[in-house]
Amino acid sequence: MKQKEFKLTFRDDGTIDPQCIEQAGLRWVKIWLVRRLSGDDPFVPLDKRVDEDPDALVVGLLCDAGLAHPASSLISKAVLSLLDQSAKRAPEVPPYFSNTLRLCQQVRIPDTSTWFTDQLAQIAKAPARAEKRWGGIEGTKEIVYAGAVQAPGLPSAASRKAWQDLLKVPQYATLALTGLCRSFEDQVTHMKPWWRRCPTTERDLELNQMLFTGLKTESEKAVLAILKSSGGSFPADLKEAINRALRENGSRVVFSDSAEQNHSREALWGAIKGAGQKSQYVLAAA
Amino acid sequence: MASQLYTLAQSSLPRPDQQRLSEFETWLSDINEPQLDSARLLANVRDECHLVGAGNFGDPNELAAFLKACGQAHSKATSELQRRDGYSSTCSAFELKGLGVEQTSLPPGFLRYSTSKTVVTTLVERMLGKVARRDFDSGLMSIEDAFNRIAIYWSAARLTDAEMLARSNAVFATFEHNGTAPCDDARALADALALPVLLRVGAGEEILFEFLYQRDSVQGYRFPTVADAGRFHLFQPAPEVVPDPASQNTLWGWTRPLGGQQSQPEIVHENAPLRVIDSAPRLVGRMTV
Repeated sequence: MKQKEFKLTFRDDGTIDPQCIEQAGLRWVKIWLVRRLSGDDPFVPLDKRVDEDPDALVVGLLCDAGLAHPASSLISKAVLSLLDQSAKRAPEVPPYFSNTLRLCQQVRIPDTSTWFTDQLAQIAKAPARAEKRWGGIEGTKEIVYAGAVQAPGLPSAASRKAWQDLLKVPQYATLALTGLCRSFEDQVTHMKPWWRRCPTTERDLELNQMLFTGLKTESEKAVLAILKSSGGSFPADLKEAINRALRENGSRVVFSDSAEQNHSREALWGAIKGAGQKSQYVLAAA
Repeated sequence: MASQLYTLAQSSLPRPDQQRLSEFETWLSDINEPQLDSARLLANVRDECHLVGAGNFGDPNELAAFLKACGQAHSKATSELQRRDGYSSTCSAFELKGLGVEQTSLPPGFLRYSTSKTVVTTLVERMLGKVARRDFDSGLMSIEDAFNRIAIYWSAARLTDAEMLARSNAVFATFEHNGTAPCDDARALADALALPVLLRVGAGEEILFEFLYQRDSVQGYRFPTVADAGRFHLFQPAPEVVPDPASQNTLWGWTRPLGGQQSQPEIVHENAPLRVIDSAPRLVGRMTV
């Protein structure tokens, strides 16, 4: 491997010129990615003083060049090759595997869609076997996170069924929601089965975040309208949890809260009695 | 001019090793890489005066071993890639071998600056959940919102032993000192800490954030050396002065600041689980060119 065969060139602003990747060719891009994503780049040393992410330079390069650039296409093919090699070597995954997944979790890598669709199907079919293969639930989860970007469960997607199946597996239910849903409205559509499967220790935290992002990206009015129109059949504990999360995020609540209603009635009753009025008429009016 | 320690170390090597070192140094000063001041890299190696391992200040044995290893790795290499790998692996082998820094001379709190979005992603998942992690990675949740919410829901107990302060064995850290640091300006702080490499990734997307942790929660405090810095020419070896408690400037390393910023204290210590941090990390800001 001689240096003249591969030379990264930089533009004036310090970013890599994608042209040099294109000129280097697939073989060299693979070699570079293997080294870089293993955390040991001989060409552009990683700055360990600030714990530079090995994937960050590649993410920047892809975002900068755009998917249509020939350099992106080469990187995409190289990434698929690294994933294939990792699958062949599993459970002894190579050192570049985790950073390759990190890359796939942040930016679209077109060639990898089928790879992730296959993996998602295997995980959904036999989660325990997949976890054994990929280093436990933590390792498997990283594949699923990347799958949400590379093979999202859009209605017409080949991965759709795998995501729907994952929604039934408690430890992957929340991740399945991220794979299936592109919007808050989507999340509400899948909320009932998700709530049923998601471990109770996780549910409130996750719901809180869904509403936080929903309220950030949509108006409060829109969020409440979506919940109102789709949430009528939600179980009482889910409705209460939604109200709690809405309150925590500074929003009005959407479902009538039975506990709160009882509390208000008691308060009103006390006030009425205290005022000496005829409670039955006032309560009826209330 | 080379440090006395370097001169002693170099002259202690047998002649064949001196020859190999000379060849290595010629190569090091001529690495043809954009944005790398290779002459500065060589100057740093020759200025090194705290790479003493377990020895005392002025003991040349460890530096001699480092220089010998650099020369040998270089002479064995048959390609440019192997020469680079040889230097990197020699540096790794000599990490955390700077002169020890007295614990009592250091302030009780350490600061560490990072650009790692992977670490932020992990913290987001631990504190805010899986949906939050996905929202963060996809950009639905902004960096600012992520840090705000991590602070609200912060609980160090949710971190596991799998999360570490750094990927490498040597952790670079700084601390508050008598001088000033531009704590709320990411670019200026990066300049003060000599971190221009951040600008390579892509305009405006880089972040700088700060961990605060107790000195006593980590161990192995040392002067940073050229071996810890590897191929970063902006590193500055500490001046060749015997550490003197009466003169704080001599007790640890100092950064080589850019852009007219003030130099900042710099030490390295052994890696430790991330849960040593006292509180939620603080977002310094986004890097802008």
